[in-house]
Amino acid sequence: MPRSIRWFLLVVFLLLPRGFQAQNTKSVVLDALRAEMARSMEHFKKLPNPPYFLSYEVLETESAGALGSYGALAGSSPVSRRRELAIDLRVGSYALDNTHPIRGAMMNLPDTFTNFQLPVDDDPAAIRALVWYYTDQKYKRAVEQFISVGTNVQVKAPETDKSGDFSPTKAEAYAEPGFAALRFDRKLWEDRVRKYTVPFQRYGNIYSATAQISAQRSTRWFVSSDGAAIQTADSSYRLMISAFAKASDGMELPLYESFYSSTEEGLASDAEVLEKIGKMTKSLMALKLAPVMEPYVGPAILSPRSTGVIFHEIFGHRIEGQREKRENQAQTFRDKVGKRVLPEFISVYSDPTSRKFGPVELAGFYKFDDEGVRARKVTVVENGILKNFLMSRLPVDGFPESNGHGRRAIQRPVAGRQSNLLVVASQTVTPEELKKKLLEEVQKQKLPYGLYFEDIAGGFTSVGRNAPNSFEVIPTMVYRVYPDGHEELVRGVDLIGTALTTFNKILAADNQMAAFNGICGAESGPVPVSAGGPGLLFSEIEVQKKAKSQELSPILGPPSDDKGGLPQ
Amino acid sequence: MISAFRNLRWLASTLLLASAPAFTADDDIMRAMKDELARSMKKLQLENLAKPYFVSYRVVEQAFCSATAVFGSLTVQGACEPVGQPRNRGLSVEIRVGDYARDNTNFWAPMVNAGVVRLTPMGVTMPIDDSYDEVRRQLWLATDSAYKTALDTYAKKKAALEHRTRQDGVPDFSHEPVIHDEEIEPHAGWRQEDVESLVKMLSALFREVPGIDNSAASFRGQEWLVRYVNSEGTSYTRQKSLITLQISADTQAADGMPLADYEIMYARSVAGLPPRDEMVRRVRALGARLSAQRKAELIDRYAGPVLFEGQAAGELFLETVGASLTGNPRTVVDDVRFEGMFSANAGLNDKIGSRILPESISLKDAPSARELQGQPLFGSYQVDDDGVKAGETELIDKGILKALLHNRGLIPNTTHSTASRRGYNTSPSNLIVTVDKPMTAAQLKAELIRIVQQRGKEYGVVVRRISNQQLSYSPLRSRVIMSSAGNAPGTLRVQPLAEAYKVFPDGHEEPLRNLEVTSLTMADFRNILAFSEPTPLYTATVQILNRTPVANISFIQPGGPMEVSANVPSMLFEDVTLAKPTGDVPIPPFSTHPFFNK
Repeated sequence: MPRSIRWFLLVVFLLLPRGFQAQNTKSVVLDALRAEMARSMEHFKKLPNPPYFLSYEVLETESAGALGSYGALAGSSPVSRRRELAIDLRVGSYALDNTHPIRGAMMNLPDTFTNFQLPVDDDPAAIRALVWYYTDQKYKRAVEQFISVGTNVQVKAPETDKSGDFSPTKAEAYAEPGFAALRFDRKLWEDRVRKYTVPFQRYGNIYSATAQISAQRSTRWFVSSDGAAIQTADSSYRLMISAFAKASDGMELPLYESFYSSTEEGLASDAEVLEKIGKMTKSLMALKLAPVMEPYVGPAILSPRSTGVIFHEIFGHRIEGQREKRENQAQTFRDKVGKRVLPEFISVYSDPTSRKFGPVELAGFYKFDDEGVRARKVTVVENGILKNFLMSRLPVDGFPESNGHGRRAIQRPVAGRQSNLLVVASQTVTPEELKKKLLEEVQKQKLPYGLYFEDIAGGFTSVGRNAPNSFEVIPTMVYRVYPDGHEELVRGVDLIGTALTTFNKILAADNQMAAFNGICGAESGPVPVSAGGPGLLFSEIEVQKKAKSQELSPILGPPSDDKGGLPQ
Repeated sequence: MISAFRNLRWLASTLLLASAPAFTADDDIMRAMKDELARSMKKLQLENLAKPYFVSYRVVEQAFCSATAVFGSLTVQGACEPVGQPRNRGLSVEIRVGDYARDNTNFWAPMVNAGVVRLTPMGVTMPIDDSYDEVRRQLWLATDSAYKTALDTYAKKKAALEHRTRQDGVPDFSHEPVIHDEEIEPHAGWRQEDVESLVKMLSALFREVPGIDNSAASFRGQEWLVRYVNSEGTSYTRQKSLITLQISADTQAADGMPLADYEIMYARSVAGLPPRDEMVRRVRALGARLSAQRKAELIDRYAGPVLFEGQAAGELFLETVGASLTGNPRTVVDDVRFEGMFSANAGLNDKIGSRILPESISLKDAPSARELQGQPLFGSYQVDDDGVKAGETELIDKGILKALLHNRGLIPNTTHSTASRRGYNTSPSNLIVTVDKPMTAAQLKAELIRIVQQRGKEYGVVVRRISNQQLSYSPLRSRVIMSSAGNAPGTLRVQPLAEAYKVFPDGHEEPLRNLEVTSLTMADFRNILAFSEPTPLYTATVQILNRTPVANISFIQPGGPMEVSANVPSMLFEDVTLAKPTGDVPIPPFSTHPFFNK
């Protein structure tokens, strides 16, 4: 069951796609990969099952970081660099190849997880020595798989989807203009993670408070036997503040704030971060005193931040191409192309070419996906009608081509994944009007209150067939909204539901927009994404009790209470 | 060209003079540890439940410097900073409730650790700033968690024993003298650029060796700085370092049988590594050996006298006898169905007082020794991880097993720890062997030939190298499917032989490949026919065969190297069976290595 977990960021408005120009930059890595690919393909031609396709993707990651806890530095990693290789080697044909799922087989680890390290120096002899050996191993594995596939498709029931295992695509050439090493001012960030966690020192009852900065620069090289040769580079900086307090009944109350930028200077200023932390500590203290909420179903408003998360989970994960194809996947929307799946006033886009949402950057930006396909904006839903899925080079009946959404974390095979998901409402009201509508629903349903989800930590969903296709979204700040309009903070519940039912409950949208940046986990590993939308009113949302810690608070008070032992 | 290492030696000696930190006064970390310890012992009590009778804190700082290169090019590059500028610090807390006779330890009942802070096996994450306040705050939360877990465990243990009578009166925890100690080794003196250029240079030597599919040179430097304090009053500070330089290579013979070998060099500092020329010589020798193995003969089976020399003797001895010299206390389990899982001292416990080796052999464990005949010993320490002062333990006297190593968790008929706690487990440290009436290498070979002729055999076998599971492992070779023959009960697992030869009566030798030892048992060691003088020194990590279960005490992080050094003699066994592996053999690569066959 794929799970998606994420963190947040508050953001603002829209974007414009950029054009990019290819350049003829010489690349030792690309040349070494191409040379070894040609040599391998030449040798394989002499064998009974030569590959019909081969691609290499090399991901170089430069990373650094620091961790602060309670005003002190708790971790610091200077810049380190590594390179890993992913090989996509296919034997058979576009219609049927070795990547075809073998139904009834146990989990296939050698093909779902690889660990091919490459030299970080640009030495063609060393690169080729390793690429050669890995390719030989991959080829042997591919042939073994293909032989099993050939029989498996005959001994099993016919599959619903007939579109084949791989689609042809245009071979692109691109070289990123300018290559710089990761910028990371270690001393500056060490001081910052200390500074950002100092405000928590006043609170003996906040047991964990950390600030973590992760900086990463990713350079990708991609070559394929189609003739593609692509080189791109990208940076990301993420700052995450997390803290938790504990209620008197043992419940742990976590809160998170996160920030994202593609440049070191682009992250929030100290003043902005400290202001958010001030709010965090107040919220933590309020949560400690908040009453526990019981399981409930009733009308609710999701803030724009929360809308992003919920759409990522309940919608985004169901429009990834393979979800409509595989026999073990839910195929929720397979038969609904051209039909209404959402209210008429809602449209949904997936746009990896979007760099920004107003002044804030989006984490799901890329120029080429991990199969060398050029990124483009995809209209998924238009005025409530389903138009497209997020396609990799794995075709689906009715969708014979990739639309640039084939993504992976290194070490995994590619799968259709989300990028920047944007929910847009064509009819909106003000937030005040949305709240009024909520209260009208409360009254109509004769309920004591409605709910407002202000902030969410993440969520997960199941997309297979062996478990209910439900989702769970984990809110951190939830309010009861009473008929007279006053709001009361509560704690202890998670938001649950099932996709198709929940879509039917969307009543209205407000005119605000926000997006969050996070990391999505699914079968092809963790990838950076964003999701945004307006505030939404649902006629019905269900909540269940959260799992709760059974641990007592500490027996002794914090050491700062102990005057005896401290000489200063 | 000036050797990079001459510069490093100079640098290391400067560091030796300049860097010894003054530990005579407690630093902020130690003060925080002592203060929170005192508060916990005095005030920590939940309702009217038992108070702790023993608490210890161990803070371990580690520093690393690693670099790996393949074919002259770096694949792993890790920043190199010495300890003292820590990039990580871990805390382990040990709490005991009950009393020395019976407490919450030596008990297995799987349970998630209690408390606000989850105690992981590696301890709690500590700040790397020397912040008294934050260190103490982390100690407070970890102590609270460890105490609650100890209470829960103690109650379960008492309940488990409620309707049982214990047969042995061995106390759970020994009484040991209170000590204060400081052991500071000089810094290892690594410099990132030098380390990287060293592994690149050594790995590039394989460009001269066609026929080897994969190779790598790996430098791994580690430093540890440990601060320890317990409620009995013992405290110590220890700084140690270890460098491991490993070169490994693997390939396939023409019939597809995998071949792998390695070279490994240990030193306490970069200056202690062999001179550059010697390192180059050893790597070239590795390449030559592996190339020779590709052409060596593959026989089906051999049964007869076998002489283990040099590295093979060291590896064989440490993985069998050396790995069996520890004893663990009996583990109480709350569900009797699991009783068999933790049988104390599988193997040698019943052999105390019996002869397990020939009479000419004696063996002792000596952690306090730092060198032997001018060679450094890598299992050395002054105080073990329980704070017990290191001495010497006589283990085997004229072939008779006298004692097993153990820690403060006593085993029957012992009253004190042998100061053998290293990290999580009990482990040997430096094993010093003495041989009565040793033979020379020539005499041993002659003896081998004599037996061969007496039995009417065509040849005997001498083994000079044995693989080490962890060291020869090539991550690239994920498709190898090999199984070792012979899994009869009581058979010792020996890794595949990496260098072996037929020895003919006229003295000439012919190489063999891919053999495995299939039927060796501990009893075969009793009947070893002859030994050489016990040199040279052999060092390796050893897989201890008896392990305690994961205790509910979080005290697992090693505070120093885990290697064992031993001076193992060559050994002539009367009868050993060697056979080729029985598993399926992967075919060689379809094309040739791009560097050698363009």
